[in-house]
Amino acid sequence: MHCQDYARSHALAGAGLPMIEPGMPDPAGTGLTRRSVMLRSLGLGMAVYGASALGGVDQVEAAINDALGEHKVLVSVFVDGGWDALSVLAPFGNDHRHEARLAELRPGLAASVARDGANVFAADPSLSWHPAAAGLRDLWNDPVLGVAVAPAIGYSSPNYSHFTSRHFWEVGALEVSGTTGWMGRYLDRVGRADVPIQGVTMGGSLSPSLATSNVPVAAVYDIDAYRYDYRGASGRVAAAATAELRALAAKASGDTQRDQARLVTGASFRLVDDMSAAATTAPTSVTSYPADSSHFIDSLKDTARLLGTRVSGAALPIRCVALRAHGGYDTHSAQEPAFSTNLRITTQGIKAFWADLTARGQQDRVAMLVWSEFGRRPAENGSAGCDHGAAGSAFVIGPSVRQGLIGEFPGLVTHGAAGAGLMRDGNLRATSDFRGLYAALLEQWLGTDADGIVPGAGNRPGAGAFIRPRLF
Amino acid sequence: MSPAVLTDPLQAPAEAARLRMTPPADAAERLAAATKKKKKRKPKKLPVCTAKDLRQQRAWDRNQRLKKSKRKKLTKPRKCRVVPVVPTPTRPSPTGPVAAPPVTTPSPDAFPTAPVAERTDGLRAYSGPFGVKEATRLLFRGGFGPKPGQAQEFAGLGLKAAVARLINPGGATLQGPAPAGDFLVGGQFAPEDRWGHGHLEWLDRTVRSTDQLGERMTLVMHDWIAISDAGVGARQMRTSIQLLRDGWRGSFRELMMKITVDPAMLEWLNGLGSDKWSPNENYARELMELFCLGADRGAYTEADIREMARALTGWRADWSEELGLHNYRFDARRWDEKEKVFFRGQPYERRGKFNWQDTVNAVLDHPLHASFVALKLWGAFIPTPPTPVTLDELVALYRSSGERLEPLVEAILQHPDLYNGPSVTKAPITYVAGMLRARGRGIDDDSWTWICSGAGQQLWSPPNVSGWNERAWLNTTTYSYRWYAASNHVHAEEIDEDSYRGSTETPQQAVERALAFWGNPVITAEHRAALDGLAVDADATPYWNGGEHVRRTHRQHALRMLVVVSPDYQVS
Repeated sequence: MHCQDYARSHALAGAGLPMIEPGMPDPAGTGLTRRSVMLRSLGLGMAVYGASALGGVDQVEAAINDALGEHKVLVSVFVDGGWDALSVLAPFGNDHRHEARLAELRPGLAASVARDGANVFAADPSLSWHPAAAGLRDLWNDPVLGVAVAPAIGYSSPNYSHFTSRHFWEVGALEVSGTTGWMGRYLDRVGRADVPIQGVTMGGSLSPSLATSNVPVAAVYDIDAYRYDYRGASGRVAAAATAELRALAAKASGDTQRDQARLVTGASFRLVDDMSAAATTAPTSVTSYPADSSHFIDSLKDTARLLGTRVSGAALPIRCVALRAHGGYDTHSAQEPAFSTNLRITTQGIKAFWADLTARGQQDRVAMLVWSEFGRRPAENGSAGCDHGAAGSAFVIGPSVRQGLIGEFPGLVTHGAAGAGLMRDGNLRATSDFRGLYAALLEQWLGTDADGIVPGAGNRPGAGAFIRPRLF
Repeated sequence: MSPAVLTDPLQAPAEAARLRMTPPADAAERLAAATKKKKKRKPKKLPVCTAKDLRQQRAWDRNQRLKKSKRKKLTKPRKCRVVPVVPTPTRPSPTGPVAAPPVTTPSPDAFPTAPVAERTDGLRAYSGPFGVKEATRLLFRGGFGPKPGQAQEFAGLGLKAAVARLINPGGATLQGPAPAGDFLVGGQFAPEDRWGHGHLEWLDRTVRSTDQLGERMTLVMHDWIAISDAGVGARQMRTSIQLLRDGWRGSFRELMMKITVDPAMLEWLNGLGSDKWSPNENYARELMELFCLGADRGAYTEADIREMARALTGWRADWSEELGLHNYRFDARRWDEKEKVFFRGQPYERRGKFNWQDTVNAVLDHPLHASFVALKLWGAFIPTPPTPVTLDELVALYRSSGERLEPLVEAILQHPDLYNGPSVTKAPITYVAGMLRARGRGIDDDSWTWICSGAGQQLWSPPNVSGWNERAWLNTTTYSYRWYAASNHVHAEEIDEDSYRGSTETPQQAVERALAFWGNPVITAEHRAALDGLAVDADATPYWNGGEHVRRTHRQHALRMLVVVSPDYQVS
């Protein structure tokens, strides 16, 4: 299905543009730069829509930016394992009821969040940043960047399975059988059939949030190492071999997994062009990152380089990037000090990434979402850890983001009592829904209707519509 | 691109709806029948605890929790064995559940209960032509691909004998070049000492073992009940994998009993340190969600997880500098001896002072267990979901065979859906081992660890407790590691350019030489056309890198790559 589309787009491209022979390096073989190819395709678009559709100067500029690849970008950072929201922003501060409850629930772990006035969270002074979350705290205090904080985000009837809950967040719906990611459906709507880098996972396995149904997406572990060399063959023979592979990859056989392999093969060779552009034109980061050995840090650096890459003046047409935070957060036992180490590397890395983007002048077209599949149980277990919980925390970061809270901290009062923040099973009650957050990101940042991407987003208020926070 | 090409039958919407079934009407009867047949527990070493023992034990435990200064002087209670007061239900009789008329038209709401005397429509064997193509598919799904000539040999046997050969290979031996290279320690792998050697040692078995299905099933189990060396020591890892290798042919119930208290599992899912004061839910959850019942089928609730976590308490181990974790044992004092209720409100609810064995039995007696196993196993071999009739018969076969996986595997490997249905992407291990087998090459390079890791599958290191995501093996990164794997072979046998001096090799001869390099695999017509296209194309234009002999050498190297990096070769 998607492969037919893929093949058809090749055919269409051939009808309107000088045919690029499969296997020829993309623009070089035709004497066209990427920019002129883009502008030609824009020209075709204008011919179709006519001048009236492109009313104002802004829209023309937006269209040109679009053709040049300067899309607004959403960077998703997944914190794997269900991070302990009650440690990231701990209920330590000016509300002694919270503190007393926390001491009851967590006689061992509560002590790991030392009281420090500098860490009090300005938007809700009953909460304090974990000392290891100083990176996020500093971003909050940054005068240019905005940070929106969801201290208890989740969904109704929480599922305590990592895999199911993560799946809900990835597909953007409470559906166990979903197969496309919420960002994938966005790419299916606005993306192109020949641009795998529009949705890129910085790592070895494709983020399910980016799973599409008909446009290609990419995964790349290390942009400098991404290429396909032949041992003992070069020049014309190697080019001919690649051409044969690309031609085979563009065909559809009707066998689902064979076609999937063909799609990936074609996307891989396409991606080489983008990666070699990034590797050769974008300088390595000049700003400083944490010195820890971490693929998350490496992938943040690579993301900044990809966003800073220009080929004949045009940006790479990236729209969505998926990263995995440093470390695992499934802290059933001995939560500290591993949690602190992982949190420090993750949040300091994020802080460094924003400095890097700013140094490259790319920050204005980027927004970042940091999320985890759930939070952990407010009561600690007997292994100095916490079992799976319900509401977790999420952050949206960027220069255009409105600083503030997404939903309030519900408190730790036991179920049944007035103002209860805990549910019957002792887990933290969610005060915001991730689907509302997604709808807000799609509509307020990416500029597309959430209806059709997030199921239920089109419902009328009062008829089950999600509350969309004002994020931008 | 959508990774969702391999339909996980447990996730497919229609199946999910179908499987969210009401329990069987006779569940309560069966439970009652099973309960009556309770075997008398025989204490192994320790005497059975008397009421006095238990009183003393409780007093001792209470005392131990006090500050030292406040403790009373008590006599230490004698060691004894706690026996649940309420009779523990045991497994249903091995001859299968209560007889019912054979299922002919399954209702989507009925739970399959019928033992099927002979294989009828649902488990009929494939009856179409069984040639080299089909034999190749069988060898890739039930093993790690054919050695040169093996697909022809299996095709000659015919389907049933070919499957029988996989099921019963006549003992497991390692055949082919022994491991070699300076990464070995004294000529051997050192899986407990060197990083990556656990992977290499097992990869060697996938390449050389004559019991191909045994290694395939061990890997299926490793993916199903996934323990990772990220959280478990190498010694325990190795023992645990051997447990799967030795146990998969026997009763699944016995295997789950062993796995539940396997040192690696106790460490991996926090069985150690889970005691009656603070039970840890990790194993209880995954026992039901991932290993035996499946998520989102309505099989259990969060309350069941909490109750079972209590029943599973009591395991501990010692730790020392030189031995690490050792002396894994059940300590009745740490076990929660109070009553638990499993599956409250269901016809199969059970209530009692359950322990870990009772928990495993309760989960495996659950009416949705057999269909979970059948779907899980089916999905390991065939990408399309089974029909309801087929599923019913697999369930019946599982129950009537003493809960063994082997008869199910045999039925699945013979099933028409395997041969008539769509291709499956080869897992990275299958791809890498398959090329080594095709080349007749042993493990003479430790690069296979990082190559397989980058391609998405390092043995002993599944990404998490749910195993690998078999629906997403291929992406633009993992493809690049498959390319490295192919390159490794081409580089290892690089042709001397001078050997092509004066050669009159035609394009067709060049393609045939490249295919022979890989043991003459069965390839698609479009793949063959791409090879032919390259062979001709490489002749067509002047070559700046040197003379004709250089061009022909390069052509052969590129053709060898194109045989195995082709998208069509990634699937079988």
